[in-house]
Amino acid sequence: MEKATHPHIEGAATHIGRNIGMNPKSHIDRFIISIGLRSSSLKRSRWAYHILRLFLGAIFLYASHDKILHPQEFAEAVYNYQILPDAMVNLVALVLPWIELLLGLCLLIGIWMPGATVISTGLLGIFIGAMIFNQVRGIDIHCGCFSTEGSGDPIGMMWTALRDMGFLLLSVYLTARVISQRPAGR
Amino acid sequence: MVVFKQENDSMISVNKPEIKRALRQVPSLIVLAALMAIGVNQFRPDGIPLIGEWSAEARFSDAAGDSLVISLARAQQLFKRDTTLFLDARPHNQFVEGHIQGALSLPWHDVDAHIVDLFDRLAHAETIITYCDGESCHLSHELALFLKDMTPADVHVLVNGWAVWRQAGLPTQTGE
Repeated sequence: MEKATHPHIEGAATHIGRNIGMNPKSHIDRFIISIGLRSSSLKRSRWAYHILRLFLGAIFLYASHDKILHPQEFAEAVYNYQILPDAMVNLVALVLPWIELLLGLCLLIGIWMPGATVISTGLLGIFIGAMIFNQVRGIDIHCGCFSTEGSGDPIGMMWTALRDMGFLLLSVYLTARVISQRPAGR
Repeated sequence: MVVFKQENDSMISVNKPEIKRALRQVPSLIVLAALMAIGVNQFRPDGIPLIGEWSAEARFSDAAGDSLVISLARAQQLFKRDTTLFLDARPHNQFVEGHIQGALSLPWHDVDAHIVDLFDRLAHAETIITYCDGESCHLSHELALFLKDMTPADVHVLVNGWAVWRQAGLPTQTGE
């Protein structure tokens, strides 16, 4: 399983093993060297992956709870964006928080990572797009991001957009990690 | 060298099985979320209709479901009467920049601090019309619901009041 997932590490381990007089055909020797390689930068990068995954998961989980508890208030927040047709407002307001909840759980547990990271990146992209769109249109909204309460002051909105852009960067990084063949320890 | 290049390429290349997984998991997660959302919504006491009613009349209604919305034409008629009181629910600085002539400032965000000064006027009003700015602005609605419980007056909301009043060229003023 390890061999199939990290062919370049196996390759490098074999190469180094030959140079320092180890037997490249010995599974034990190759295993020792590959552990040594991974323990350096890869280990750090894998830690980063897991920490970011847990962090983003917790963010989504936290973001979903108030919206699930107060569907009417969240529907009003969605309506205030004035982007969706009226008939879609309630449906989106009902389903969106549950997507966030499932995403959060997937990220926290570390299952269904390809799907979870792609949705997370897509959602954050849509949120930021909607916020910027309304900022440009000059529509006074409150984002309803973490809570159904909120005020519509523009400085708060800019801060929210910047914060979400930070989350988006994390999400893009995680998606790239999961989709690419880089060893991600998933 | 060639071998090394191939290894290097494979490090940054996209993993097709992972993309396939993503393409399967994205719709699965969305469908699962939709089923859970709709399922839970059906059974909870404060569930909302799947297709909501978002017209102004429905949005700006009181606890009994009666609409508080008043038309611009009707508001204009009542404007001429002394017993009608217009209340501006926007923040005070926006009121200073411009408001409906004769209106009083009662910012919803700071209602407790301002309402004491207005008790006398509120008590003598037969009709109260609240307004703010923007189709989706909820300040005037909140204020209207609050006043409806406090005063015997007829309370109404002029939706998107500041904008429609100005566009109709009706009397406005600036300052305190």
